[in-house]
Amino acid sequence: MSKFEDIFKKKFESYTSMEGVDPDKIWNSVNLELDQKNENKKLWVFLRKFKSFVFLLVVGVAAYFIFNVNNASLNGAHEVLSETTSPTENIKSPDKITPVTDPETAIENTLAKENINNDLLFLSEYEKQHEEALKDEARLSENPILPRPGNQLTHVINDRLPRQISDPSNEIGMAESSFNALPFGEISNAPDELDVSLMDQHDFKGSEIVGALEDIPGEVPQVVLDSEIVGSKTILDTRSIPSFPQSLDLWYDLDAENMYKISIPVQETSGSKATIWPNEISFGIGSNLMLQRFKFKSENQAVFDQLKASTKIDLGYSGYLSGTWTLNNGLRFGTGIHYDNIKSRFDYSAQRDSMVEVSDAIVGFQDNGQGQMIPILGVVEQEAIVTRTVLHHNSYSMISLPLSVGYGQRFGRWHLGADLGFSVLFFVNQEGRSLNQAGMVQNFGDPLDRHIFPNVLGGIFINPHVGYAVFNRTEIRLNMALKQSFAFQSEFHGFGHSFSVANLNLGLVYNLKKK
Amino acid sequence: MKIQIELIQRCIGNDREAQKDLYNLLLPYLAAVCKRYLINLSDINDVLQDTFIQIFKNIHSFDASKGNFKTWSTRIAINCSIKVNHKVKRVPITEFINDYHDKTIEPEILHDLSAEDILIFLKEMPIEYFEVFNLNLIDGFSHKEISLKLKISESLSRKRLSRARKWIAGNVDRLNAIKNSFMILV
Repeated sequence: MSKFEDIFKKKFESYTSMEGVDPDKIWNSVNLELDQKNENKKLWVFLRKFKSFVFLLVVGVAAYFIFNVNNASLNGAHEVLSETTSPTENIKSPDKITPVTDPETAIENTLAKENINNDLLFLSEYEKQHEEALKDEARLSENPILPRPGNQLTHVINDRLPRQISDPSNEIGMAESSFNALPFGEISNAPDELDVSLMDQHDFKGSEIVGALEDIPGEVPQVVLDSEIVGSKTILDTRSIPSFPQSLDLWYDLDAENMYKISIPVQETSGSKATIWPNEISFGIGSNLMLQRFKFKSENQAVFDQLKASTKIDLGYSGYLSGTWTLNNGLRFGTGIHYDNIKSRFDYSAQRDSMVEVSDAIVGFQDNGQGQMIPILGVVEQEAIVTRTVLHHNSYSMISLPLSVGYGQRFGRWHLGADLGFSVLFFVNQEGRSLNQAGMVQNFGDPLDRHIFPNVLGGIFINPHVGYAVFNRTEIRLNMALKQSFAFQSEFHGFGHSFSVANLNLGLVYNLKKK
Repeated sequence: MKIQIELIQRCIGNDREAQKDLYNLLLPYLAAVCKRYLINLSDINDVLQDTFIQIFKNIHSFDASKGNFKTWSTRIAINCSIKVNHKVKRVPITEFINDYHDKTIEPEILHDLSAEDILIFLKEMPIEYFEVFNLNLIDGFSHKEISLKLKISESLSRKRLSRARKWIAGNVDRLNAIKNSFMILV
């Protein structure tokens, strides 16, 4: 720099000027801007401090919105359906349907005649039904339903939705009902007091099994029209189902951590180094699309065919500790311990149930002329489609222990790999309230009800996955897990079931160790 | 101008009084900086407002180990000024610089001139030259930094500085005229 330029610099170093500057105006503007900034900051601090409250508020508003939508759609559905579809269109002999004098059933019949194919149940209704169910159970335990010789099918399978009673004189009677039996106590189907349940009923035909005789000493046996001993628990308790010859579940699962989650350890080490310390944390949120089909045969020759499709979104958290030993050739071995906790679940499901054949089913009762009611045998056919929307915040906690062997390679930011392994899963906590098939509330954390859940699951899996490292430590990973699982459970009267699961899992993986 | 670190810390703590003190302390100097850079001086209040908002919003990121606060705030003022200058439609440079080598500059000329006078003189050169002159010679930015700020190549930055020097050499007579007018006025 020349001496000349140096003088320039020095001149300007101490140069100050206020010409044309309005200090007050500038400060007022700055002051105003800083105040707004602080307001924004305060709001952010508030949101951070009370994020739980904000979350609950959002969930509450969403639940309210869902409720209103469902309610609106329910009313809309009534109007539309009443114009287009007759409840008895699919009933072969509607004129043979006899009126029912039971008040509750009469109400339900009225609803059925009005073509109400949806039924929105609320907590108060659940509680009421639950109380009634408890009374029923107590009464039935004191006065058990008379078993019909040679036929153990003594319990009602239908729920409390609108139905009509078949004509006792008609062996192949007509009835209308929805059928929502979940013989395995399907784990995710568990709404509680926050639930909004929308049940659609379509196209049902067949005879309904409405009850049996009550053997009350000193009194004439009576027909129990509302013996609502229904639900998975009852069904499982009263039927001896030796096996499920065929069962297939197809799960399309975008949830990062599901109950059947078998998260593959993904830690990679260089060379022959190995570590048992966790190096990744993964978070995930997504939806499950589940397709499952159960087909089984009961002891009394009733054949059930159930097809169910459901969409689920789980909210919860999970974590795992895993270690992977990676060899130079890309082969790796992994193990770990995985913990999952599902707090809330949105569940929309459509279910088609068919009891395609029931031989010697009780389709009605008649007086035998001696003051006793005897059952009328018949063949039952029924079909039903049930859709339901459930939002619940039950808590499931489970621990799984996978063992895997896999192979993976990195191509720049991309990571391709596959693992093959075995996993055992334990349920460590199940709490909440659920709605059983009858629409009755049950606390499934109760020891008495806990048996509806398999406590231990095992399975083999193959898990191809592709990952993309968006940052140095963060990777988006898509897992496609194909699983064959087995339940080890002795409480289901000896039955066991197996299922195949296709699980598509999108998650975010964060490496604690810098690559 | 001495800025106490305590004052800065109070500003980080969003102490409005401290912010006002800092504002009063910096304003005359930063106003002069903006005046040096701005093409349209009518923008000065807006630029200063933007400068101080940026200073107070980012004051927590000031690292005393990397430089003094005056330099840090000067850079913010320069950036704000250049940002506004970019919006000004510029006239293409059509100046001829053939005979600038023929004249010499006597440093003594400058001693009697105020910074304001020198600024009037320098601002007569094409603004593109003056921007580089300001950034490089007065405020110490490297050509690489200048290229990023002005979105020009480093070589063009060097060329402009060279042409700015030549322009000064070629227009030293004007500087003398400014000095003489000053003396007459006195």
